[in-house]
Amino acid sequence: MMKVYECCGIESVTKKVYCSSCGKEITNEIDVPEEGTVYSYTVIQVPPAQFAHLAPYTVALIQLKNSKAKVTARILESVAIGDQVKLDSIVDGAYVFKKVGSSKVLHNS
Amino acid sequence: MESLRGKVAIIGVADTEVGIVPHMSATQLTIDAALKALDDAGLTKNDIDGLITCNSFAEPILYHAEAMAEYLQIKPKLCYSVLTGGGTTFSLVEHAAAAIVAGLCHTVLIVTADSLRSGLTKEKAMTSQASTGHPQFESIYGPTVPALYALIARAHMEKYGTTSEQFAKIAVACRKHASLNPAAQMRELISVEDVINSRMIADPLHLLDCSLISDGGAAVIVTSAERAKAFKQDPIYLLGVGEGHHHEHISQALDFTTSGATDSSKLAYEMAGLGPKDMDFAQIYDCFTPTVLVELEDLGFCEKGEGGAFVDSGAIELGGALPINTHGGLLSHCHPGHPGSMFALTEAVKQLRDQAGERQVKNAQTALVHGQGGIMSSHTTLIIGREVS
Repeated sequence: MMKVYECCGIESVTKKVYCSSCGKEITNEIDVPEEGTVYSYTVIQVPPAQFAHLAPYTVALIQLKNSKAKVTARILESVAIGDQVKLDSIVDGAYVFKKVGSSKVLHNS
Repeated sequence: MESLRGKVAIIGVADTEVGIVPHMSATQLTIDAALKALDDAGLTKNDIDGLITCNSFAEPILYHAEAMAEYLQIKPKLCYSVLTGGGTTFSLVEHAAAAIVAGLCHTVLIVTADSLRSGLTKEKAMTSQASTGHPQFESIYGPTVPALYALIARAHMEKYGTTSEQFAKIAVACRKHASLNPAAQMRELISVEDVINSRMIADPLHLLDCSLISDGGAAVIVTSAERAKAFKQDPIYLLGVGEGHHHEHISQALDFTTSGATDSSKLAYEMAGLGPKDMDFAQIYDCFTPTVLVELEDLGFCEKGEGGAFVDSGAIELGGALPINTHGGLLSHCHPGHPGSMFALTEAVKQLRDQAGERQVKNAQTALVHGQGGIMSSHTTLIIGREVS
């Protein structure tokens, strides 16, 4: 499970101490499944030097299942927006997701 | 709240040589831009009592504005540096206007310059720009700045059916305008196919969807409307201004396809008492082609989702309904980083003074200039014009 921090209906994977709505300390930690759908993505062909060994690689923003929070991830396969993905591993602190299903809607592109 | 409308004017503008300028440091470019702007206005350095700058990546100085004041040997009453990314330029104008109206000073020199091309290695230029990434949720994934904008482009394509060809047309228009500008870094005409066939940097952004990496600097001088008529050039008045700040990190943005430009432009239009249809041309921050498309919508030049169709109509080219980036923009004129959008402002002033040569927009009276910094993070819209009606 992944941790999502919630207060006043605002959910984020970022652990902030204070709620941006009520100003009180955020105490509600929710466990959410390590899966979601691709919100947006890019395939990086020209990487910074320290990531050159990975290129080309896909970086995506994942809309987490059962949560309003999104999380950044690398994805092992080529994906489209809406594809279902699941956490595969954590490498050097970075979430690596794998594709487990295609988006239900068919796209022209 | 007192409106800034018509209270101040731009009386001097200047650009340095831009593009690849290895014989000048960032500080030299700053001073060169400052001196040229003073000359343009017909002022001496002692007429300046406010100085606002932006720090340099290539030659960072902790107290940047103070160091520049020291270099020029001026003793301003107001002196500081601001950093809101590429949108810095225009927010500086708002801050200068507010300071003048509040009586803190009467004439402000705004100057920004950097040597991203010659003062940094390519790798350093990439990593320094990408250092804005969130340490836990962005940077460890190896995103480049183009990659973070690519997320926005992809989301817009998905939601509204925008195409790579429509993004490419923005690069083509900017290059066409740059071809008419002797100062521009890249002047050879390009086609939509050239953009689409250029090397993929971060899908869907090709090399020619991305702005340049340049050296260069630019400066503007702002004074009160009462004083403005006494100088060499026609004063160009500030009619409206507004800022909008929605997030810093794109992974934290609540909306990928609508930006803070909606807020900044609303404030600017309200202050000016004008709307998008009143603009004779616009200078729109173009670090990447999708940035322009989203901003065209958020600035009200077309409906949300119709940026692609607006670009297809040819409106954004010289001779069209809304020529944009008449100097060539960041895509083809130059992009030295934080100073990037300053050239959009100096160009807008030259256009409104009827000094833009071959690329002159006929009878240009009123213009909108929009700057954006970070990853669609900080937005400032300015509306400037020849007359305060």
